[in-house]
Amino acid sequence: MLKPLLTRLIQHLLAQNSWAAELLQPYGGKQARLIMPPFSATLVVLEDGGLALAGESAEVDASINIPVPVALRILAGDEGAGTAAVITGDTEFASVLASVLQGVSWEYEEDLSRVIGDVPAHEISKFGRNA
Amino acid sequence: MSDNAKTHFGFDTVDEQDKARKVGEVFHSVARKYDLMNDVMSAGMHRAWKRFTVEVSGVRPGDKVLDVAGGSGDLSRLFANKVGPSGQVILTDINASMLAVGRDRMIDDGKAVPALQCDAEKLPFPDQYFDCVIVAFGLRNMTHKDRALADMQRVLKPGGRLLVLEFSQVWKPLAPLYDAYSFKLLPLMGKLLANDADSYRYLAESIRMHPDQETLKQMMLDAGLGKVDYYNLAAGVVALHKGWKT
Repeated sequence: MLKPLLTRLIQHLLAQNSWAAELLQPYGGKQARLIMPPFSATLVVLEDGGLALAGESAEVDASINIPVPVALRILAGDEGAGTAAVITGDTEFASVLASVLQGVSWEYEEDLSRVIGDVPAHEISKFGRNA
Repeated sequence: MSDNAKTHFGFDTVDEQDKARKVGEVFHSVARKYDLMNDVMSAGMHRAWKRFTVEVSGVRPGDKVLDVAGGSGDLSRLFANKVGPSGQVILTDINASMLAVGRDRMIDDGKAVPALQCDAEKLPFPDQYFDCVIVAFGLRNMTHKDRALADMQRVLKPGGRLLVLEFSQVWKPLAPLYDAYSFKLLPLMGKLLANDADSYRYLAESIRMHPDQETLKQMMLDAGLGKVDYYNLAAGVVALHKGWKT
């Protein structure tokens, strides 16, 4: 049941970043392998512009290989680091997907507010941002 | 000895012309307790499997969706929410009793979903009409699965998707446990909960006679779909196949 859970998580993140669906929609049905050693996953673009983990027999159209040093630079907020990822296959599709993945942000304050209310969620988020 | 073509009905071999009637009798028998049956067979997980099916369908507001062998209308209800008022969902089933359950549910939910009794091997719809066709836990009961898949492919628009959610081949190490559950516990529960052990035994047997993941994938490709991928759910107890018409 890992794939349904991760797919739901991905779709939740994309719903918070509605700009992404418009970029991805032309690539509905395309599949890309994302390799970030030691992890890898295959993603499929859905026809509504969403993303999901691909199934067991996916045939990838592109692959995006992100070496660990590049991944660390991306996590540190280096916007230019994405250009150092190694893309093979359908490069146009992979470039769009990579830019979406790099641009997606988690609106954690909004999610937290549903559980504990607006004011505590805002205070916790503020504390996190200042820490 | 009859010269008629033969097919499977669970572990039995029957004349092809008799299968639809026999399957019909099973579903007439279980229609009123269908939800209970699904919950018992899947330990309630069928709801999560169906939700996942809708999530990976890629269906958008305004799309046209065909629910084949839609039974109690679970997926039609989820898809109706997804396509919105500008879209269209049509619920179909060959079995009048099952269709009545689904139709009544939709009406109770205030959803205007047409319910149509028809044979999945001869769908009464024009070519290239639907954005998505779904068949959930229905394909294994069809006499000619190849014909049904071909007809579902026919009514899809180019770029449309055929989703097949069906019991499949479980991960091998779990097979003995799954067999014990299916052939011992399931008929017993069927007897206790629905007083209908035979129908539940057929359901367990029909699952075993259904093609495995790779075979079904090839059948979908043979039916004319351009690309097929599948997800194993619950270690392969169920598989969701997604095929694209190119």
